[in-house]
Amino acid sequence: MKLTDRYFSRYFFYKLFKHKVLLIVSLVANILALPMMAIITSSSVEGIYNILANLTEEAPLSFETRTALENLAGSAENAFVICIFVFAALTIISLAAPTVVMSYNSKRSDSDMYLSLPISTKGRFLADSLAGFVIAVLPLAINFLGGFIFIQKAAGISSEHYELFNTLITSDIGHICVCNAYDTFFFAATTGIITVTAVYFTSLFFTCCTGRRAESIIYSLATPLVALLTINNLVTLILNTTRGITSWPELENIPAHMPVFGTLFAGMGRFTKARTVSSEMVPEVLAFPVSVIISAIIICLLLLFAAYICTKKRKAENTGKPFAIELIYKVVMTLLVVCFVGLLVVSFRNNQSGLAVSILILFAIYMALQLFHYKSIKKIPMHLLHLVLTSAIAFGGFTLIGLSEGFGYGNYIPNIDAVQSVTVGESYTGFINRDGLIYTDKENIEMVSQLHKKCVDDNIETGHQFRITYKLKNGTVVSRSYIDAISVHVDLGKEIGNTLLSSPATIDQIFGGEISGVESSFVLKEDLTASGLSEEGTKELMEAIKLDSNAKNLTNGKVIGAAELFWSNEESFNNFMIDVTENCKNILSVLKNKENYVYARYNHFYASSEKAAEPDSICMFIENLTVDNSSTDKNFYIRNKDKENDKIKALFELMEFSSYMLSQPYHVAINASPISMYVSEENADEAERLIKEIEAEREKNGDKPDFTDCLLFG
Amino acid sequence: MIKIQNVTKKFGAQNALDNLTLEIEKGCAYGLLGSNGAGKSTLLRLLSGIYIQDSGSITIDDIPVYDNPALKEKIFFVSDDTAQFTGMTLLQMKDFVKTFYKTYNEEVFNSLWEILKLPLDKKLSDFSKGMRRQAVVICGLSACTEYLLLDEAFDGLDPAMRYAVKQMLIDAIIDRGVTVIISSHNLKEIEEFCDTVGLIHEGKVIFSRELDSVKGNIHKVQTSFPEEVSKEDFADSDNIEILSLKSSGSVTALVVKGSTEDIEKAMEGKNARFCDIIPLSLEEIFIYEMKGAGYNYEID
Repeated sequence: MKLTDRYFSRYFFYKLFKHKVLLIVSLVANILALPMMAIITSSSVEGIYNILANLTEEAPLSFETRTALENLAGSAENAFVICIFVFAALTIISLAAPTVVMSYNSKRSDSDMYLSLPISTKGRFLADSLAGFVIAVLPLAINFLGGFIFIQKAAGISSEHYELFNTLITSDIGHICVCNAYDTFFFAATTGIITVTAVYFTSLFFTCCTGRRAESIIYSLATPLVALLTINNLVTLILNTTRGITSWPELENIPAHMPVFGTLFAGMGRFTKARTVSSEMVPEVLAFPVSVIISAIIICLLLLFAAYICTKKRKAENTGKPFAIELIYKVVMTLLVVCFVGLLVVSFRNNQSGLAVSILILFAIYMALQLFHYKSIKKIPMHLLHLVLTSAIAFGGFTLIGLSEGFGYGNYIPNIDAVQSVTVGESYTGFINRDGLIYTDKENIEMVSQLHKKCVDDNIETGHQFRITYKLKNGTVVSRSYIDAISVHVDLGKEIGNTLLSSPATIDQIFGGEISGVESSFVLKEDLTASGLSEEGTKELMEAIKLDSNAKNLTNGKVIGAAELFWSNEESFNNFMIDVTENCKNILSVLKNKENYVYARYNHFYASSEKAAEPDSICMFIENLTVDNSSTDKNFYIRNKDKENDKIKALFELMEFSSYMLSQPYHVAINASPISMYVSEENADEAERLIKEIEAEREKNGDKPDFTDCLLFG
Repeated sequence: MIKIQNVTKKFGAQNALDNLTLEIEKGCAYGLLGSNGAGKSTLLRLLSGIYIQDSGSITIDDIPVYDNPALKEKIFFVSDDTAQFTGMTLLQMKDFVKTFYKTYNEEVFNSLWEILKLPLDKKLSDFSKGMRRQAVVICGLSACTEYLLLDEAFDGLDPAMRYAVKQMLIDAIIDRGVTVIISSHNLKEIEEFCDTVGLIHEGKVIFSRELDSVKGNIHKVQTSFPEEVSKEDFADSDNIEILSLKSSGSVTALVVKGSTEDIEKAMEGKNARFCDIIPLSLEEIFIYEMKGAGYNYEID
C-alpha cells in the first residue's frame, strides 16, 4: 500500500462498522450452519458410527459416546432441512456482500460520496474486498474451528479418539482422505467454504464490472452455471467422439474444479454417494481431491485480479448502467450462446428430438437478455447478427472438435522416451480383478506402443477390452481403451502380444505375490497328453515358465502344447494360459513328469467315477461342436487308449491352441477341454469329418465313452 | 491554482466537456454558470476526482487530481444528488468526514450546527431536501479543506437558510481562504458572493472573468433615434457589440457589450436623442450571453 493511502485502515474499519448488521447476520448464520453441517455429515454418513465402534479395542467407546452418536444420527434428517436454509442464507450473504460494500458501483449518490474520498482506487478496492471477505467468508473459518469443538463435545468423543481419527493427508495420492467424523466434517466444511468463497469472489467480480445490483447478482449466479455447462458439453462431446477414450479423468474432473457450481455439485455428489455405500467405502468416496481446493483458490485469485482490473478500468459515470465494462457483458452473452450450441450439438448426437424446441429456447433467452440489457428494440438486427455469427462459430468449433476427435488427441501416442511406465489392461491379459500389467522397460513399452499404433492406424473402435495407460515422465497419464484390438489385428497383435506376454517382465508380474490354491491343466499334442497338475506340480511349472521366459523359449519354435494355470493371490483369483513350444525344455520337463499328473493323485481334481480315476481313463473331451454356425450339445470323449488312433491323431493335428487368452481369429469349430483348443474355419469340415468317422467306428464297435469316464478338472 | 487544460469528457457519443480550458485562482469564490446539461456537474466531478477526463489535464497546484489521495484530502465535494449520505445521521456523517479528512475541525462543526440546529440523531433520509443540503454543507465546511466544490448548493434552501449558508461560505472564504467553486442556477446568490464567474455552454467556456469585469462590460441601453436603426447599422462602431435591439414606438432598447464610453460614443454617432445606460443583473447577462452562444431562448 502506498503511503498516500493513509486512510486504508480507517476506510476498511469504517466499512466493517458501517455494515456491522450484515457481519452479525453472517456470523449468526455461520454459527448455525457449520455445527449443523458437522452433525449431519458425521451422523448421516453410514459407516462413521461403525468405524468408531470397531475401534473399541484400541480406544473403547463409552456408553455415553455411543448414545450421543445415536442421538446425533436420529436428529440428522431434521437438521439437514435446517442446514439447507442456513447454507442458502450464507450463499446469499456472500452474493450480496460485495454489492453492499461496493455500493458506489451501483448507486450514483454513493459514487459521489466514496469516490471523492482521499483514498486511491487500489486502496479502496482492496479495503472493500477485504471488508466483504471478512463479512462473508471469515465467519466460516471461525466457525470451522468452532464446529470441531462443537462436534467433539456433542458427540462426546475424547481426545484419544481424535488421535485415532486424525485427518489423514496423503500426499502420495493427492487426496485428503475423509475417514472419520472429523474428516467428514472437514469435507463438508471445505465444500462449504469453497462454495461460499467462490460465490463471494464471483459476485465481487461482477459487482466491479456491472453498474447495477440486479445485473451483478443475476450474472454472478448465471455465469458460473453457463461456464460449467459449456465445459461439460465440451467434455461430453470429446468423450463421445474421441476414439479410444472411454474415460478421461483429467477432462472429466474439470467441472469439479470449477467453482461455484462444479465444486458444489461434485461435493454434493460425493456426499450423497457416501450415504449409500458400505462403511469401508466411505473414506474412499469422500476423498476430496486437493486439486479442487487449489483450483478454487486459483480461480478466486483470478477473479480478484479481474475485479481489480475492472475497478481500474471502470468509469464512475457508468454507475447505474447495466454493465460498467461492456466487454464483460459481450463475453457473457457469447459464452451463453456457445453453451447452448454445445448443448444442441451434444443432444443432437444423442437424440434429434427436441432440437427445434431447444433452438427456440436459446433464441428466446438470448433475445430477452439483450432486450433487458439495452432496453431498446432498435438493436435487434445487431443482436440477431451476433447470435447467428456466434452460433455459427461455436457450431463450427464444436463440430471441429467432434470431427477431429478432440483435435487429434484420440490419435495421440506418447513418445516412448517420454513414457515412464505403461499399463496394459485386464481384458488383454485375461486376468480378473487386476489392474493390468505394468511395464517400465523400453523394449516392452515400445511393443505396447506398436500395438497402440496399430489400433490408431486401423481406427479400432472404443471399447473396454484392451486398455493402455501411459504414465509419462512429466506426470501426465494418457489412457486409451479399444474393443477387441488384438483379434482384429492378429497379424501384428498376436506376434507382439505373445512376445510381450512371454517376456520376463510379464511373467514376473503374473506370478508375483503370495499365491495359493494353485492348479493347472495342460495338453501336449505330440503324445496327446491332456491332464492336470497338482499344486506342487503347478508351482514347478511356474518356475519352469519363468526359466523358459528368460531364455526366450516361449515364442521360439513350433507350438506343441498349451498349459493353463489357476491360482489365487491376495488380490484375486487368476488364470493364465501359455503356449508350449518345442523349445520350452523346462516346461516340457515338468509336464512330462508323470509324478505330477493329477489323476495319479487327484487331490485337487476329482473323477466323476472310480472308473475315471484309473490311469487309462478319459483324459479329454471335445464339447460344443460348432460347424457352419450350427451348434450341437454333443461331447466327444478321448481316452488315453485312443491316443494310438490315427484319426484322433489327425484330429489333434488340426487343432490349435489359443494361448494367453487372446481372442483368436479362428472360426471356432471345436472347443476342447481341459484347455481351449480351436479348429480354424478352413479345417472345420475336415475336423467334423474325422469326428463323424471316429464316432461311426465307435458305434460299430459298441464303444461308447461317456461322462462317467471323465476326469473333471478344477 | 486550479488548471483545467483542453479537457474533453464524453458520455457515450455526447461531449459533456469539449476541449475545455479554465483557470481558477486559489482563494476565490468561483461561480460556475451554465444551462442544464452544460457540463457544470461533470466539471465539478472531474475536479473532485470522481470522474476521469478522456483527454486534457486537470491539476491543482500543478498536481493531477485523479486517483491522488494526497490532493483529494484538500477537496470536499458536495453533490447535487440529495440522496448522498441519506443512510446516515448527522452525527454519523460528521464521523465519516472526521475519519477521512484530517483537517476536520470540531469547533467549526459545532459553531455551524449552533446556527442551523439540525437533528443529530435523525437519519438524513428523514430530512427535507433543504435540511439535507444544510447538513452536507456544514459537514463540508467542517472538513476545512482547501477546496470546497458545491454543486447546486442553494437548491431547496429557503431564503433564510440560503442567507445563512451563504454567510457560512463567505466566512470560510474570509477566515480560512477556502477556494469555493459553486455551480448554481440561482444567479442572484452567485452574484452576491462570487468574485469570479465562468459560463459554460455545451461543454465549452463562454467566458470566465471577475464578476465586476463581466458586469462592467455589458449594459442595457434605452435610447431614441430619429430614424429606424438595426443591428447592422452599428457594424462600423468600434469596441461594442449589439447583443439585442428592440424598438417600441420611438424608444429603442439595446443590450450592448462594451464600455460605457464606447457605447455613448456609438449612440452619439447615430444621433441618439438621449441615452440611458443601465447595468445588467448577472441573470440578464447570463441570458444574453447564452443567447449569443446559440442557446435557443427568446426573451422580451
